[in-house]
Amino acid sequence: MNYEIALLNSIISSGDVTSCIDQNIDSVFGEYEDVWKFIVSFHGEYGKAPAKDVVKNSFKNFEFFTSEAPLQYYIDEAKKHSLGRGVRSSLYKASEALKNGEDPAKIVSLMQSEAMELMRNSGRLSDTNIVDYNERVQILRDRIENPDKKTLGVPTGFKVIDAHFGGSQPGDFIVLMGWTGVGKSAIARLVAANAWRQGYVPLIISLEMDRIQEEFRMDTILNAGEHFTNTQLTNGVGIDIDDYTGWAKGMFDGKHPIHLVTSDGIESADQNFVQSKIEQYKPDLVVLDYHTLFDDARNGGTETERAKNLSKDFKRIAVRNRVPIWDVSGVTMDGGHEERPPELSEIAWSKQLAYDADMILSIHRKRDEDIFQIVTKKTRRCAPFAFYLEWNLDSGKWKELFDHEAF
Amino acid sequence: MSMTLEEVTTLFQEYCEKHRKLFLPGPNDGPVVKSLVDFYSKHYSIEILCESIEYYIKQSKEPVQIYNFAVESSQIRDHVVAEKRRREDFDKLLHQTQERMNQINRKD
Repeated sequence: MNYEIALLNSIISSGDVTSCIDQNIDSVFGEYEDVWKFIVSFHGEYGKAPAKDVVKNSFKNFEFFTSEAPLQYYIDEAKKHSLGRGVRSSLYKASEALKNGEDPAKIVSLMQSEAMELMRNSGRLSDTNIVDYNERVQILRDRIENPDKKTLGVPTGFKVIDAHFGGSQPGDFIVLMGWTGVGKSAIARLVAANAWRQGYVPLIISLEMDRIQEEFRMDTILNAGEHFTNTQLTNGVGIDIDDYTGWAKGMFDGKHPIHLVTSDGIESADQNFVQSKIEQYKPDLVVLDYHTLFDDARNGGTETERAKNLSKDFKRIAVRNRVPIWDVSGVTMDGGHEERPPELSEIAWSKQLAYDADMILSIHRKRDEDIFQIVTKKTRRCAPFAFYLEWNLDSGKWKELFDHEAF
Repeated sequence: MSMTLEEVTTLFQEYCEKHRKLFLPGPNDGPVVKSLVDFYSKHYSIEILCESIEYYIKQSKEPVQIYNFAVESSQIRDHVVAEKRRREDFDKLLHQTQERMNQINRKD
């Protein structure tokens, strides 16, 4: 029997329309979508499911039967069938496109996009009932009993951010913005390195730098000035190879991964690419560097439109995958404002960003100085905060400060 | 803070020197500076005038004339006042953050 008919019959006989609405079953309907919409509309108006005769009046050819199994069984079956139909359709379209000689890279991108849509529709974005508090009790108990888990999310390593914002939590979309060249990317990597030190797996998608440069940069940050500087690593001058090897052995051997994806050999890096990498590596934290270098899978017309689409989709990806995303965004200098951290309004897609971001950190550093100003321009779950970061990018040594005469 | 008319005129020359800009004296510099000092003393402050002068000179792509500064000064002043407020806001937020962190550290 057609799974849509079976589900609709079960809904009508059980009268439980609310469970179906709660489970986002809209997408399982194709041929009988009008019957489902009728049931929802009737339920909205009269507070209960329509009786068989009411449905019969509007849909004369609809087939009725007595459903034996519980409603949830039909919902699960319908979701399974619907997902199968979607997969078949996607594969068929891809196969036809290949036959017609279309660019395979574009076809892969299209398949990724459809796969995301299918996952969303098949219930990955689920609703919850806030009244069920047991999970929250467990989370709080874990935090109280285990001092290492004091920060709810992935610790950033910055005392001020962790104490105020509670680390990077699943679904967070955190934006680092600053004038070009102030060190936003470096701070994003410091966050990733600090997370890794605490046992978490970061994923860095960098479209800005070469793979080896990136790896040396992470070495510098993790070494924190103890053995070598970034200049020594990049120039290969004044460095003891045995010392480096010994340090690297101690630091990395037998440890969990730091995933790095650079643009080497990649034709297009868009929202689907980010999603696929998250699925591939299942990271605890993602760094995207940087915003405007990503392609927009939705083909937005202007640069602002593309940036807005990316912002919206990165937030959705963070929520869907329950992973925090740190997004690096550059702000173009205008009117000599380079002496202070940028304002949110100075980003072209600021309104979208204001909707999507859970926290926006504005970063500033005076040219050739080691002092960064870090200030929130939006926080969704804490009071605004500000602090200084003293950080020598070449040695990797850093500390948080509240007083500094540089500004 | 107060400054004589001569001191303000000298300030133009000093900032031009500092930012490597050409200072062009004008025939009406005296009355224009007087007008600027009177206006800023009454409605804003001499500090704002000094900061505006430096900002104007720093940004200027042409030889600097006091008269031209006076003509453009309202726009420059708005910018300088806004930037000053931003700095004050940052310092205030920094102080509040430090207080909160001290409280958290005391609890720990």
